[in-house]
Amino acid sequence: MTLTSWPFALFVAAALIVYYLIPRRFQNRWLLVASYVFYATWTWFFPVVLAVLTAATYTVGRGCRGSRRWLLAGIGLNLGCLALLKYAPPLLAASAPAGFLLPVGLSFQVLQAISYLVDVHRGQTAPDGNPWDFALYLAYFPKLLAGPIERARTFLPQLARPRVVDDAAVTRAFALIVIGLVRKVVIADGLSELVPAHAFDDPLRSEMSGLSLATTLLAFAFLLLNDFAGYTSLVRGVSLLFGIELSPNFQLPYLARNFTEFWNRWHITLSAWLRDYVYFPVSRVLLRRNPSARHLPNVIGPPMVAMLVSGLWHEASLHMLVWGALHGAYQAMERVRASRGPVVPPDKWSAARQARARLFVFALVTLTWLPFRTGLQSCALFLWGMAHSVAHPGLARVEYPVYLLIALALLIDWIQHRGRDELVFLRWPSAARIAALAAALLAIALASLGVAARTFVYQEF
Amino acid sequence: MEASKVRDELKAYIRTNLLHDPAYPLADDEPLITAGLMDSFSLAQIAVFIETSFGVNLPDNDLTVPNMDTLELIVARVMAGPSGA
Repeated sequence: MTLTSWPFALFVAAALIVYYLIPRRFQNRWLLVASYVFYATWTWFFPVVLAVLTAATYTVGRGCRGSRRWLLAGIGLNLGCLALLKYAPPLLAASAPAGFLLPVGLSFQVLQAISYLVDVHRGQTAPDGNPWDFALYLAYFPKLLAGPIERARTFLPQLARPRVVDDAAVTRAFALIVIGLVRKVVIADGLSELVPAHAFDDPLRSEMSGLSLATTLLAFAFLLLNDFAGYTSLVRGVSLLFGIELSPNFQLPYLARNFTEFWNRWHITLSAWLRDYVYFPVSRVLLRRNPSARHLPNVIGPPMVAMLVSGLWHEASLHMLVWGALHGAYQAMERVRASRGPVVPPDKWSAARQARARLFVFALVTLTWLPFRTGLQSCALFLWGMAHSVAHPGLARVEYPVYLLIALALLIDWIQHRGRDELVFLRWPSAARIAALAAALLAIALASLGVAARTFVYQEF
Repeated sequence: MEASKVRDELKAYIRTNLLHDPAYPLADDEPLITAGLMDSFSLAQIAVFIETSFGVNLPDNDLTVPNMDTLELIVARVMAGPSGA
């Protein structure tokens, strides 16, 4: 069931009606049932895997406070499940059994399960006494497919509290849903239609000029952001209707002035997970051996390991590892540079320096999406095509609506940046609000006409 | 362990090793992370410094903006001890 489809809208409506008709004490159970039904719309196999993983993690979690052996068993179990279902089939290729499918969202569920186990082991989260609430923590349908990656210590207390869904919450929820739909259906799906996939997979056969290839890459950068930010906005809005707040995942990442800032703004819940469970532990081990901030392994090690894990988490492939290694290298180089003189926060830089830094980070991030999107051989051909066919006016060009959609994405980012609030639109005068809403709904309706709902990019991970 | 001694040692460490400016006029309530003066790596450095200097082991999940954004917050966290109680 695609989240931008009518069946999903009807599913949410039905879930909401029952949710508000039944007594409060049954609401969590109802959400759990609805989540498993939602998951079963793909195949029966997915909820079975989730139920087994949930039962095993819950059981291990009850024994792993202070026990390293139980903790390692729980982490091994989750990673083993991920390795078996995500990494083994591509490696086994043709010999993989038929129907051996990767459950959608399994990578996200595994990260949440591991964070729960580690936090229980450290004594920072009490092992949950209610198995059904714990099951809902992993299965809650708005975040089931691609996060946000929630922590048990912030999610589970919400399940225990009374739900407050007042007028302000409903307004916020619908605003998030509309922004999410504009980003996904209008911008991301629009760019997806216009950007030819073979430009990445077979750049030379695409016969595109260098400028068109560069524009294609630029369009992919905005497609990826708006696809995932749109998804997050949409599911946060849906979740708010049930009175449950999910974490934001994006904060205008293409306006970052350095790479550390970029990762604090892009896929925030994954970055926070990597920081807490990979970056900090690696940093501590290295700093205990040599406390100098200028010691090279201390500078390179933590970001490189964290970003390689990130690459591997996305996909077990060489090109994704290269993507991770490049981002690790960017952060390491930034640290070396920062250690040469007094720290000056980006907010205190001159406007010109901030603009230069934003452009530099955006350009490098965009170029680095290339190994994120396609294999290394295609990356090389793509870069060769960009550099060598600039002067071929007869070659295929990118269609002009691509520029309009990028401009629309930038406009939304700019408005949110200026207002320092993703829901700044709600503070506009009522006439402007109504006009913006009408324009958004019209754009969503026009973009949906005759086009099948597309899945989200991050659902694939 | 006195709070004033912890504050002085932490202030000197932050100025010299994290801000690379021993003369920086660091105020006790000046935001460090939200103002962009410190990042994740700096937090790990402070945690290891606190561990070796004051014998207080701050868990990774405690290295957050609400706990570590200002010098006075960090001092309070150190004085609360390993459990943070």
